[in-house]
Amino acid sequence: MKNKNDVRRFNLALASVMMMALVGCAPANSDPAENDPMESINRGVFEFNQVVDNFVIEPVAKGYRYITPDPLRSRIGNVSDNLQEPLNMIHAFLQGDFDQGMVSFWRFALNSTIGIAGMNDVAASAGLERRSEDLGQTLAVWGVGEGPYVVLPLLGPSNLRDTTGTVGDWFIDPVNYAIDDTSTEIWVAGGQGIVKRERLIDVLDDVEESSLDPYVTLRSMYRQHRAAQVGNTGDGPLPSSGDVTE
Amino acid sequence: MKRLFAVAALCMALATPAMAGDIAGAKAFVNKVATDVLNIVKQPTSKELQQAELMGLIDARVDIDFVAKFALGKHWRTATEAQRADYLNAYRPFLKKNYVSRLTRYSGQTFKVGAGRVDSDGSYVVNMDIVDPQGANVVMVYRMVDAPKNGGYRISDIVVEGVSLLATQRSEFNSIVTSKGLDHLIAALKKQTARKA
Repeated sequence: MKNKNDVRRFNLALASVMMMALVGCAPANSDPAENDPMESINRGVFEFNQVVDNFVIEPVAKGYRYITPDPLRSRIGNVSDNLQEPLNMIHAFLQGDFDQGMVSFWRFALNSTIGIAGMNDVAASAGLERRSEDLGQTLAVWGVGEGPYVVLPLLGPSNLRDTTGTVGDWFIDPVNYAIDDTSTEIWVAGGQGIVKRERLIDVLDDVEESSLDPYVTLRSMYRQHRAAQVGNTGDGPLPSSGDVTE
Repeated sequence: MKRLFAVAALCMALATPAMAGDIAGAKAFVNKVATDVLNIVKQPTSKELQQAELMGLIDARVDIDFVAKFALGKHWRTATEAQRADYLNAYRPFLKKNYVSRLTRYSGQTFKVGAGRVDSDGSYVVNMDIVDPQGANVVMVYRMVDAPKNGGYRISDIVVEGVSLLATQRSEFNSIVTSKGLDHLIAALKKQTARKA
């Protein structure tokens, strides 16, 4: 029980830091369409994250990629994905998508057993495709707007709605209750973070190489990607040529 | 007689791409572009030759000037003629360099062309699954315009996992022009293109 309380305290502290950051800032002079009234603070956190990423997270992710041969790495990725299925299921149900909730249920059931602790995605071979759901998406389906864009320390791009979602999911996630040990939970979360960062190596290298302003590029990518996840589409926004007609 | 033959040949040449203006044609086009790209990046030739071939392919298959104007958005309207020309000249090599660097990062993926449709603005949209032997599949969407006069379809945008290259570039450019001006953006494009890959 003590451990749960630690987790709560940690999250409350995180949430209050967030709220202070939100309340105590004056709007910067950026385009309202970019939804980023706290741009100057966000840029500061972004710079900090870049430094930490360059010196710690990225080297660890690249080291992980280097030492794990491909079949092993995709199995580790599958285990990590499988641990998210209970949360995917809960949120599919909360969004009223019963069919997808059952897909997540069966994915977890099949992959945890026949797939051996989630190492093999046997469910996908049976046509049960993975879909990532979380509290941020559920809130969006319930009509909550994204709120201002926020760059979280270490966790990176988010917004007020998704930050609430991230904190809330820590309490909702059945896997955290199953583990019931704070330090193990943090290790698991850290491991999942490295798996995620390894998958993003090429995308983020590309942004670093080609972007004129990586902060703005990542902000735009995050917002588009989340909108696509919420709508469960991969289409992206429709370009309107109205602006360029002469 | 000779002249009649020439006219007939011209008519046929013009008619073929115009007839291709349908969803099946758009899917065939995407399939061809992806096949051509794979053929180039799989060649065991020099990197320079690959890059040159990819540049040629992009020139032929991407509607670069449309992309350039769209990426600049509302700032295109307020730009002077000189700025527009300068911007287009800076943008074309910038786009090609970035596309080439993405394409040459190829590592064994294959593709499957999926469903296609026509969007409300008249552009063609074709889905593609990128099958990565080492990881999760990636959903890609090609958006293209049908330009019969220019010999068929031209790609206007590529969307990866819901992220549009064009929309991303547009917000990036908008941020730079709003805070520092169009001339600064043009200088930044040139600088980035000159930087070694």
